Amino acid sequence: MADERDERALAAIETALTGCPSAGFKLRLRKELETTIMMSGGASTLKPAPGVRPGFTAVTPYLVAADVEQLIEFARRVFDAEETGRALHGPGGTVTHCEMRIGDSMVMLGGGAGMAPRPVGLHIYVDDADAVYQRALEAGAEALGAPEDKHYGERSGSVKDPAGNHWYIATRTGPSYFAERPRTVTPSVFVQARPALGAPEFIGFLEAAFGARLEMRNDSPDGTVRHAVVRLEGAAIEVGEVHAPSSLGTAGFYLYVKDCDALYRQAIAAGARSLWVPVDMPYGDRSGGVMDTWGNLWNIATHPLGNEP
Amino acid sequence: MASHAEPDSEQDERSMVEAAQADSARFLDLYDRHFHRVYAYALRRTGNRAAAEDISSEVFHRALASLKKYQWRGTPFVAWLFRIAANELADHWQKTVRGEGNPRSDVDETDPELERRAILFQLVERLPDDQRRVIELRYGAEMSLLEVGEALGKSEGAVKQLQRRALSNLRAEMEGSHG
Repeated sequence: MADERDERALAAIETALTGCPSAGFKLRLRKELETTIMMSGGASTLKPAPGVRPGFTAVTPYLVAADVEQLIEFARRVFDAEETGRALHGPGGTVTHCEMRIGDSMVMLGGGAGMAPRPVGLHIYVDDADAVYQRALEAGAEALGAPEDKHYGERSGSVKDPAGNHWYIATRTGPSYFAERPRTVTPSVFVQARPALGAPEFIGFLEAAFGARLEMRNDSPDGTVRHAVVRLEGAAIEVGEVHAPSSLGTAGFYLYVKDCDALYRQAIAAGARSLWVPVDMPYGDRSGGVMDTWGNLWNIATHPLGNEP
Repeated sequence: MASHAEPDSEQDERSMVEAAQADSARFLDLYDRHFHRVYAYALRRTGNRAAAEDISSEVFHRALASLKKYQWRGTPFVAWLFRIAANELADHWQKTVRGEGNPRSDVDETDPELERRAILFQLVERLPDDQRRVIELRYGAEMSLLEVGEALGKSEGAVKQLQRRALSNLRAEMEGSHG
């Protein structure tokens, strides 16, 4: 009797289970929704600033590598970077441009065989700096400094990836020195300390060219800028000054602004050299390019959708 | 264990919806809470898993897109999701070749059977991984014991064993959740 009841109960469950969803589907759909939320600017920005492409901020670091695929794979493996788009215009359909989301931040990667690499410095916040640092080494990065507790509220270590980018892998342990909650990834620029061409002048250029605003500056006793944070339409760039030429060389940035034509002219007036005048690009953005005195590339763009009311 | 699928108090649900309206990232909390209900509803109306997945996906994308417009009127949030699902189903049947599938329009949203299935699906998710995978393949994908065995690299006997354990776990949990 009891057996029969058991059998009936089990049979009823079996019937009810028909068509049950897979956990994989539920996860995939959740991820899709998450991406939609992220790409629409998520929580903190109810509406993207004018000219800014949804999902992006005003400043996106642009990493240039000879082997883009390798860099994509590295970012994926180490930082769980998620590819959100790519363009295949290289020989044999190789990647020439790729966009990846890391946490709440976007990075652009590009290049290809024969391209001069343009590695950048990236300050990245993760849940477990030690574990991510270890993963970076396993993925072929070179150690620059093992994770340790820093006096500025984080535990961090640094590595150089196979394409030469420096990653400062950090976990927050105390109050942040950023005025706003830091994003997952913040680009860092190192400028060689030189008279009239050091970090103070570079910061002055960012202010004059792009209307950036200095958020904090911390000088060493010898007067060099140890560390500064500059903000451009809400997006932070960190600036440091070094005595020897930085192994990073020069950086590349993709800016999203309300009026790229006006900002392009402003950058030229502030001393930048024109690389190309603003034009409508086939991929939808309008953009112009300039190079600053320090050799950094600035792609100044306006996204058409970002300007819709 | 029993409480996770029970309807929350009205106040809780209302504050979850308001949080999601203020910060769309919180929409994922609503998704986690209601996924199985919406899926169970879509499955009951369509009778097939692929269509239920399509409908569920549409419902949550649409709900996310129009969440700001949602106004609290004292009815459970899931009723709004069911309403979106009903519209999607109407479109779905229009797009589907006539005669393919058999729409059930007599499904009552308050049918306790729906909630029971939603709870069951949720419980499947909490089974040990090997048991869960067997259930998903066996009943979700409707594979034979042999096919499941091949997919998981296990013998038919081992699959059968896992299936039995999973079913009896589910039964115990279901009884636990219903008293």
